[in-house]
Amino acid sequence: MPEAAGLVVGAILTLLVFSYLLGDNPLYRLALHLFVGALVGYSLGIVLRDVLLGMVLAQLLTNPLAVVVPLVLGILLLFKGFPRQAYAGNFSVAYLVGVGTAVALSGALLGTLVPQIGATGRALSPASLASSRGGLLDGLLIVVGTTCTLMASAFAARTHSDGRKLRGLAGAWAQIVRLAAGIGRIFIIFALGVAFAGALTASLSIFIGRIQYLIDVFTDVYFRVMGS
Amino acid sequence: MCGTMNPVGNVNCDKCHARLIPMAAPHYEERERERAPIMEPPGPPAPPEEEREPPVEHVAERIRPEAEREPPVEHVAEEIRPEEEKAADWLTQLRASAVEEVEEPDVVEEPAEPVEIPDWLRDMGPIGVETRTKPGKEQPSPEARWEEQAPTTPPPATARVTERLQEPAPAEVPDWLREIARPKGAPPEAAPPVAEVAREEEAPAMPPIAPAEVPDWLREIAPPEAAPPEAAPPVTEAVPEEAALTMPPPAPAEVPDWLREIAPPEAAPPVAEVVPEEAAPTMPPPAPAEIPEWLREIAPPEAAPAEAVPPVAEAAPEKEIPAMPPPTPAEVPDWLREIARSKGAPPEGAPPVAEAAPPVPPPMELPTEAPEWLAELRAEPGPPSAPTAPAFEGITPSPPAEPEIGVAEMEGLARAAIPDWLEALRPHPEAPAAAAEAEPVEIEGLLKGVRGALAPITTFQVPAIRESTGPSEISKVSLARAQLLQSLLARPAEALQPQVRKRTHSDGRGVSMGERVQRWLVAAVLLIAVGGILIAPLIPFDIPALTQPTTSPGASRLHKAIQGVSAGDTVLVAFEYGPSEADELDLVAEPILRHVLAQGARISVVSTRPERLAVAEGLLSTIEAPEEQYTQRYRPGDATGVSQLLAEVGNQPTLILVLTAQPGPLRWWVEQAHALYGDTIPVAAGVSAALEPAASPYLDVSAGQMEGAIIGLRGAAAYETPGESPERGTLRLNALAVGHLAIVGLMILGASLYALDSLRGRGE
Repeated sequence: MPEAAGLVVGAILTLLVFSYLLGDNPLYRLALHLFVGALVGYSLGIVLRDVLLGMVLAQLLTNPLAVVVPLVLGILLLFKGFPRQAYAGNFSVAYLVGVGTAVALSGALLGTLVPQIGATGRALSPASLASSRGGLLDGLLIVVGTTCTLMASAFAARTHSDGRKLRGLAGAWAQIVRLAAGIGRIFIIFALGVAFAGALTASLSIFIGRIQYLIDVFTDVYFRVMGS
Repeated sequence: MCGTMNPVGNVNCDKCHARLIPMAAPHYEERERERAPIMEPPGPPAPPEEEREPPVEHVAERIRPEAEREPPVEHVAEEIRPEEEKAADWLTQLRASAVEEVEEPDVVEEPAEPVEIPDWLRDMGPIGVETRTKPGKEQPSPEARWEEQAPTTPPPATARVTERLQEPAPAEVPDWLREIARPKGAPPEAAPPVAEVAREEEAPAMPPIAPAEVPDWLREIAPPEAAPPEAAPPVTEAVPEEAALTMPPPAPAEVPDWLREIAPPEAAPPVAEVVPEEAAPTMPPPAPAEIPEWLREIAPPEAAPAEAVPPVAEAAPEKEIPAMPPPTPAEVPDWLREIARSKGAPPEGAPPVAEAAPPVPPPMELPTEAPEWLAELRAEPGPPSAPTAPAFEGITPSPPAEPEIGVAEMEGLARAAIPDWLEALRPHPEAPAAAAEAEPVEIEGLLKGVRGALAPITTFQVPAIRESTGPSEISKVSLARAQLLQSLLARPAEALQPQVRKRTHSDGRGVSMGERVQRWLVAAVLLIAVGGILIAPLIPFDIPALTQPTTSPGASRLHKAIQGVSAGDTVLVAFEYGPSEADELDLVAEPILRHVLAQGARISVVSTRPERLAVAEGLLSTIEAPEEQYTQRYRPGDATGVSQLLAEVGNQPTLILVLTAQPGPLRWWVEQAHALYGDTIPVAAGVSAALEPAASPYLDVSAGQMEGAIIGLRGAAAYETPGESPERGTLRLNALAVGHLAIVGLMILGASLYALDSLRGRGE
């Protein structure tokens, strides 16, 4: 019976959210407030259980010195809720920002930039070309797409400061950059189209899931009410 | 300043009362005056803005109509030169007549010039008028003065004089001039005087002058018998210099002392000082741009030394005079005709100067010696007692060095030898104006009236008159720019907010009915399309499969990686999606977790968001995962939390599985896992369809950063195909395909309606 109540409540809340088709209405807001409240309450419970009890309190009992600095920084962070004493929380924020930036930077450098550059360079390697039938085309697309997409953000001067057109090597380079930037914009257009299609598919998948949920609830309630 | 934003046009700050507009800003006209090539003589105290008179040369230009304004002397000479041959005949006559010492009746020229002269200049009156109060003194006749001054006049000046002469209407002749003419009783048909020659060029174009415009001072000096001998009547002063024709002499009451001292010498240059023609080229004429015209009139000794100027007939340039057009009979004033008749001059139309010069009335006699006023001047060099006009205060007059020399020579005195060092100090009329500015003003004190002791100043300097410190006028353009700048400075708080186009209904309900209909239409279409497919299995209606799941390389590699997990191994599963994405990703995560659990591996559920653990708990309960086979852990922080979770894993995980619908968590996990463990721990992912572009680079084989991935419902359906799951993914895949078809149909419908609406709009 509790599962049935939960299914019904879920179905009702789903219908309240769908009521947004009629415009912004109190039912939609009620469902929204319920979701936000439930999320905050559940998050607070998780934080209390996993962080304060699981990490701080447990450490205080066993190794208090290990949690002094994190505890002090956490307490200082609470002062951010008071405007006059908010400066006290700046130390904690500075620590968080500094550590977060360092971690993200090292991760981006070692986890994305270097491997992706290496992958782009190996796209036209013999091993990569032999890996599949369309290896050459795949490699060319990767190399050309990556290079031209980066070129799309490059700005090369087409003329001198006095308006004269660039000649010679500089002029040729400007033409190359211009051509590569145009190709890169085409790749960006395709990438944005794919991203939009993926977002649409994801949204449609979620919609299908909600409809499937409603169907399941109604059938369950129907069979419960009608008895088998 | 306090930096407060004040309204445009404020002189002082509203807050701190600081002055916003500089006080020393020179006025526009003042700047223009500083740039003027010829400096303006100091006039009366600076009048108000609207009453201020233009510079002298501008006055001279203004009193003449636009069409009659003549170019500079050089230009006139160039224009006249081509016509040299045309007037060769009358030029010959002019030369011949020069021997006859014909005086030019320049009396007729002066009355025409004071017209439209500014008040302040008119008030100054003629120079040397105060000498008029000395009756009985011998006064040189106009003819005699012409003879005396004509040789001192440089050729260009004479030519300009003749060009600027104007013909006064008969009614404009002053009374005193008529009185001059009446005693002679000459008939009006008398030959035109010398002035007629000048009238040939420009007199026809000059506007008539009303009698009322003749200044009083000119009328006062009109009777010849009343004019003192040492005082130069303004009419005669005007003859040799062109400046005399454009500037009236100052009023008697305001003429400074030094001007009175200077004026007589020019009026009475001795005839004996006439020198041969060959001396003329040695004397460079003063630059017209440096010497005011009216100053030339009162300082002839400097401009035209006696020994350097030929007689009248010779002074007139041979190349310029022929260019003068012949005068018309109608232009000759009556009084001149009378004078000409009395002298027995040839009838009008005779071009030569000698022939045109009529005799002078009896009272005027030809002086043969230095005038009396000059003798007096020599005897008492002190300045006259007349008060100095305030307009000329602070200005040192040019020392009449040349006239003194000329007087000495005239009286037969031998010229003393001047040392070289003293000769070097001799002032020159072409001295730069800057040097004149540096000279001290010596109009009072011990040096007052000492001639030659003061540094010469050939030109008058513009007095350093500073306008009142009031704010300069702000033009409308400047005001508009300032207002625009002020509005731009005040805008950022408002401009950064994007203007949202509100499609509100008239009743304020927020959404128009048309938009609501569109929403309902899209929702109804999708609901029918998707719901029909999902309900179909519940009713006895067989729907063919619209699409078949295809196994992607990423899904195959993921399946292979999970197949490599042994029992007891730990699989780190990062649940990085929330309740809003659970409807999609639950289908993705479910087959993978079933596969992992089937392998006997332990699942370590981690997340950087607390609510995601709830989603994980619900999914694990759905697939009936044994509690001893999985753990949950939450660490706050994005990349930092991921790094900490990876570091806290006691046993090194065999596989890291990332389940997310956001690009951020996917990047964090891939990056941090690669940064901490390198390629030792394979990373797999089950992501939303929206993340396919973001996950593809990591899925690249060359990169080797992700072992495999399941993307969206399509990947989930492909992964569950060989499995034992109830194949919910495949069922939903059909609904997804129908939903795609419905969306494509709606897009085509919307594009068609939009195109029709556009066509209708163009048609209208």
